[in-house]
Amino acid sequence: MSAHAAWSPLEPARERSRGRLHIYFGAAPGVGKTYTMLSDARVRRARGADVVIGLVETHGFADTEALRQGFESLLPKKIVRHDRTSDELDIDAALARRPGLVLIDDLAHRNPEGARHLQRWQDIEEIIEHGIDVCTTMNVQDLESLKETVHEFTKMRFPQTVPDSVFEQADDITLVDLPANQLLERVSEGKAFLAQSEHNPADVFQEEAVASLRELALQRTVDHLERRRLARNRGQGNGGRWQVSKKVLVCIGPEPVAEKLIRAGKRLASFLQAEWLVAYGETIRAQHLPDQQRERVIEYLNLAQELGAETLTLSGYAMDRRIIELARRKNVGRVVLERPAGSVWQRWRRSSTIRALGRAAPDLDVFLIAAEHSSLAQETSGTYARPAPAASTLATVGTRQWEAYLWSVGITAGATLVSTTVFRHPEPTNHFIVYLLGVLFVASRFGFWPSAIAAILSVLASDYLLIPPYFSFAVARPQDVVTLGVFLLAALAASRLTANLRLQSESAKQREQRVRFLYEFTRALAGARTVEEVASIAVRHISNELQWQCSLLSVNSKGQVTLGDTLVDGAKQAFDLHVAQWVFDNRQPAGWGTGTMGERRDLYLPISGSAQRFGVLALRPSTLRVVLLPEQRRLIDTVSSQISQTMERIHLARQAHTATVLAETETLRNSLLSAIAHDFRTPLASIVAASSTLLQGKGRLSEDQARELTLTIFEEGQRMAKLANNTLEMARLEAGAVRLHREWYPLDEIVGAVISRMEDRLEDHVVETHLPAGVPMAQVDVVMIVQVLENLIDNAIKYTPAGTRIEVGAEEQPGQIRFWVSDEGPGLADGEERKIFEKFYRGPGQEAQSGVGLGLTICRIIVEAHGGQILARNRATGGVEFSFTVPSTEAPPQFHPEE
Amino acid sequence: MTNPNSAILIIEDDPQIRRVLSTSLKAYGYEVHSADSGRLGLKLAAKHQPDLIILDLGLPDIDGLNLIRNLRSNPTQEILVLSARGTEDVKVRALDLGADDYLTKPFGLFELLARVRVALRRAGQDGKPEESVVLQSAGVTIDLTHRKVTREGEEIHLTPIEFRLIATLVRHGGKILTHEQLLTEVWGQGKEKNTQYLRIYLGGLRKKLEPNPARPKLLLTVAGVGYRLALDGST
Repeated sequence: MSAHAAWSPLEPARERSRGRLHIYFGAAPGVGKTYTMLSDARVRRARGADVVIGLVETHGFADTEALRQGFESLLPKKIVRHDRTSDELDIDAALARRPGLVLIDDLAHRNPEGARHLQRWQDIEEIIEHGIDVCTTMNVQDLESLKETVHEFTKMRFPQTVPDSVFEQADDITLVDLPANQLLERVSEGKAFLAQSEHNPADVFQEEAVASLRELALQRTVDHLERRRLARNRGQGNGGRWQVSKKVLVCIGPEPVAEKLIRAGKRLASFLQAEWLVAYGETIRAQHLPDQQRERVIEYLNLAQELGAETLTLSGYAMDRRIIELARRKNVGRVVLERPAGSVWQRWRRSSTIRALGRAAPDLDVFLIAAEHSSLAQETSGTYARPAPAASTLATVGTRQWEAYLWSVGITAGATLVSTTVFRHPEPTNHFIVYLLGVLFVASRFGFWPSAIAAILSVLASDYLLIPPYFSFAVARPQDVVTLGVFLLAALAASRLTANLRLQSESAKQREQRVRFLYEFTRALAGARTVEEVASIAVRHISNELQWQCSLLSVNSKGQVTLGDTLVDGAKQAFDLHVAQWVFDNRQPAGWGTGTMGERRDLYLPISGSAQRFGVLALRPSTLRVVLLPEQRRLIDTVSSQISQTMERIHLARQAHTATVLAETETLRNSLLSAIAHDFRTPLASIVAASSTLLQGKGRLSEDQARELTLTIFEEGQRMAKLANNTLEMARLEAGAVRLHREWYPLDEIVGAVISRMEDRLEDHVVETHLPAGVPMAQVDVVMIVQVLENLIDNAIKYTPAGTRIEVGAEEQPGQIRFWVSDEGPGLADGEERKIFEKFYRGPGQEAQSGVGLGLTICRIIVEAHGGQILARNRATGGVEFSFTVPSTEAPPQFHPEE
Repeated sequence: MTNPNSAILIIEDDPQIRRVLSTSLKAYGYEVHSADSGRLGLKLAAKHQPDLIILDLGLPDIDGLNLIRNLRSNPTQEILVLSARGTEDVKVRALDLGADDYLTKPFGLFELLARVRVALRRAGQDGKPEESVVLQSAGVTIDLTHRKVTREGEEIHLTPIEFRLIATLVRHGGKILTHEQLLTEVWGQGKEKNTQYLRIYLGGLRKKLEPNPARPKLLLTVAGVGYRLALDGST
C-alpha cells in the first residue's frame, strides 16, 4: 500500500505534519478559479515544487486546457454507477505518488456511491492528513452555512456543500473575482459550468444575484483573513487583545426547525468569532419518537458538526435546568432557541424554557428563531440523508397503533359487559370505576392516545347504556352531564399520568439495560491482562448482548491489519480488511452511518490511545437502523473508547514491565560483572604473588618451596580457565544462541565419555556407574549433556572428601531418561535445593573454593533447553543426589543387524 | 621411542603462548621453529620440513581450516591443532580436513608433551600404517595380521564390521577419528551420515572388549567429535 502502511503499531505515531490547503474561492462558476489555480501552479513548479494534477476539469475551455498541458496528471478512478461512468479522484494514487502539491478541482464535489468518501472535501482532508499540500477550488454557494442565503438570492438550491470548518481551516484563500458584467458575459459565452447541477448557468446568474454572491464571497474571504490574524495573535501569546467570546449554545429538538436554528447559530458564532455548541434535548418522549424522526436528529447533529459545532445530547427531565447548567459549565453567553409558535397553549408551554432562562440566568442573551411554515426543512434534510433506512419502520408502528386502538375498543366493551352484569344498581359511579380501570389498563399498555379513545368510548357507552334515558345518547338529568364531564377529565388525566409513567419506566428499563451492559463490559475489561483477552471479551460481550457480529482486528508488526483468532464463526468473511486498514491508518471510523464508505453494511471503528494505535473494531449490526439511534451511537462510542482505554492500559503496563525487566537485567549484569571481576582477581593475585616470589627469590627458596609456589600458579591458572569457560558458556547460553544438535546416543556412551574425560580428576574418589542392561538411548545434544554431567561430577568432587563414593547413573523411565550423580558429602542445607541452580549461588562457607556459582546454572539452562528438569535432593543415606531428565518423545531408531 | 631431534613448527600469533611452547619444547630437546602468521608458517613448513606442526586455528591472516588444507599437501607432517573450548564442530572440521589431533586451551605441558610424543611416533611411521602391528592395550590384544582379538588371553569373536572398526582405530594409532572418517573407512563412501550405526557397533564392541562399558579403558568417546583408541601410557 502507500508509505504510511509501514508504520509500526508499537511506536508512538509520529507527528505527521499536515499538508496545506489552498482554496481558490469565487463568487460563481466561470470567474476563472481553475485557470488561476493552474497559472499559480506553473509558477510554483518553476520554483521547484513537485506539482501533480489530481483531478482538474477544464470543461473543454481551450485556455484552461492549454495551461494544464505539461503537468503530470494522476489517472482518474473510473466508478461505474447505473451505467454511468464517472471519473473520480484516485486518493490511493495520490498518496502513493506523494507529490509536494496536488491540484484537485471542485472541493464541493459529491462522490458517487462506491467511492471511499461521500464528498470530495473528505478525500482532500485525507490527502492533507498525509502531509501533501492541496490546491482546490470552490464557490461561495457551496458553503454549508450560506445555503439559505444563497437560496434567497438565486432561488436555486445547490446539492453539494462544503462544511464551513473545512473552509475556515484552509491555510490560504485566493479570492478569484470578476466584475458582475464580465462574469455575465462569460456566462453568456458558455464559459461557466455548473457542476452536478441541472440549473442552466444563465438562469442562475441574474446581475443582482451575482452582485450579492460577490459580496458574500468577499465577506467570507475577509472573515477568513480576520480569523487567521486573530489565530496568529493568539499563537504569539498576544493575549491582551484577544477576548475570548462567550460561546453560543443552540438548543434543538427533533422538529425540522432545528436545521434553521443550527444555521443561525453558526452565523451568529461566526459573527462573534465564538465557539459554539449544539445541544439536542432528548426528553423522555423523544426517546419514543418514530425512528425516522430520530434519524433526522442525528442528521441535525451531523450537520452541526460539519459546521464546526461541538454537539451533545441532554436527556432527562427539567430541560430548563439542564440547559442552564450546560451554559454555566461551558461558558455560554448566548442561547439560540426556537420561537414558540402554535396555539396559545402550545406557545405558553413551549416558552417555559425561555421563562426559566430569564429567571435563573438573566445574563444570558436569548435569540429566538421562528420556524417556517414551508416544508423547507423536510426538503433540505435530504442532502444529509444517510442511506435510506428500511421502509418498514412506519408500517410496523402503524400496525401497532392500529392494534392499540382495537384494544381500547375491546377493553371498553369488556368494561361495559362487566359493569352491566356485576352491578344491578344502575348507579353510574360504580360503573365509572370499572371504566376507569379499563382506561388505565390501556394507558399503561399502549400510551396516551389509545387510552384517550378508550375514555371517550367509555363516556359514550355509559351515556348510552347506563344513564337515563337508556339506549340513547341524550342525557336527562343535568347532574349526569357533570358526572360524565368529570369522569372524562379524570380519565384523561389518569391516562396522561399512566402513559408518562409507562414511558418513564420503559426508557428507564432501556437505560438500565445499556448501563448494565456497559457495567459488565467495563468490569470484564478491567480484568483483562492481555490484548487477546480484551479482544475475546469484546467479541463475547458485543455478540452476546447486542447480537452483533463483531471482531477486534489486530495489527501485525508491519502495521497491517490482520484477522485475529477471536473471530466468531463466519465472521472471517464478514469484514473487509482494506476498509479496516484505512480506518487504522487514518484513525477515522468508516462504514455504515459514517461519512466514509457509508454504503457498507458494516462499521469499523479505530481503537487507539493517545499516542498508540492498536487495531480496529469491526461491527456488523443485526439491523442497520439501530446504529443511527443516538443511544446506540453513544453506546458504540463508549464501547470503542473503553476498548481503547483498556488497550492503552495494557500497553502501558507492558511498557512498564519491560522497563522493570530491563532495569533488573542491568542490575543482574552489574552484579555478574562485579562477581566475575572478584573471582578473576583472586586467583590472579595468587599467581602474581607466587610468580614474583619465584622470580626474585632465586637462591633463597628451597626446592620444595619453589615447587609449592609453582603449584599455586598452576592451580590458580586452572581455576581461572574454568571460570572463563563457565562465563563464556553462560553468556552463550543466555544470549539464546543455544542450538541443540540432538542425536540418539546409547546411555553408556554418554556416561563413559564423561568419565573417561574426567579420569584424572576422579582419582581420589570411588566411582560407581549404574546403567540398565541392553542399549537404551537418549536423544540429546551430547556435548551439552556431557557438560552437565561433568559439572555435576565436578561439583561432587569439590564438595566431598577424598575417598568417598560418587555414583553416576542413567535409567529409562516412561517418556523420559533420567540421569543422576550422587555423592556422600555433607548434603544440602534446608531450602538450598532450588537456590543452588540460581546464578552466583554458593554453598555456605565455601566461598573460597568455587568460582562464580555458574556451573549448576549452566546445567539448568541446558537441561531446560532439552525440555527436561533438574533437581537436587538430600539422600536418605546421606549426601546429595543431583538428577535430571530428558524427555524422549520419539521412539529410538530401529537397528538392523549388520550385513 | 621419540626422536629427540624431531623438528616442530609452532604457528601461533600470541607471543606469550608461542614463547611458553617453544621454551618448553626446546627444554625437552626438540628442534623448534615458530611463526606468528599463517603465511610465515607455510613458508617455514616448506623450508624446514618439520615432523610436527602445532597450529593455532585463530590466526589473523589465514583461516586456520584453510591453512590445514594447504599444509596437508605434505602428508607426512603431523598437525596438532590448538583450539578454544566449546567449538566441537570446528574441531571436527579440522580433523576431517586432515589435522591429526587437537588440544583444547588452556592445557598443561604434560598434556602437550603426551600428544607431541604420540604424534611424533605416528610421524615416525611415515604415514604408512604397519599392518603387522600387534596392539596391546587395556588388557586387550589386537592382532591385525591374524585378525585375532583377545581379552585377558581369551579370544573374542568379532563380526566383520566390528573387526574393521577396531582395525581402523588401531591403524591410526590412538589418533582421534571423526565419525565421518570412521564411517568412510569402515562402510565406504556415501555412508558418512549414518552415525547411528557407528554408535551401535561401537557400543557392541565395548560390551565385548571392555569390562565396564560405562567406564571405557580402550574405546574412548570424544563427545561431539569422534572416537579414539586408548594406547597404554597415553590416555
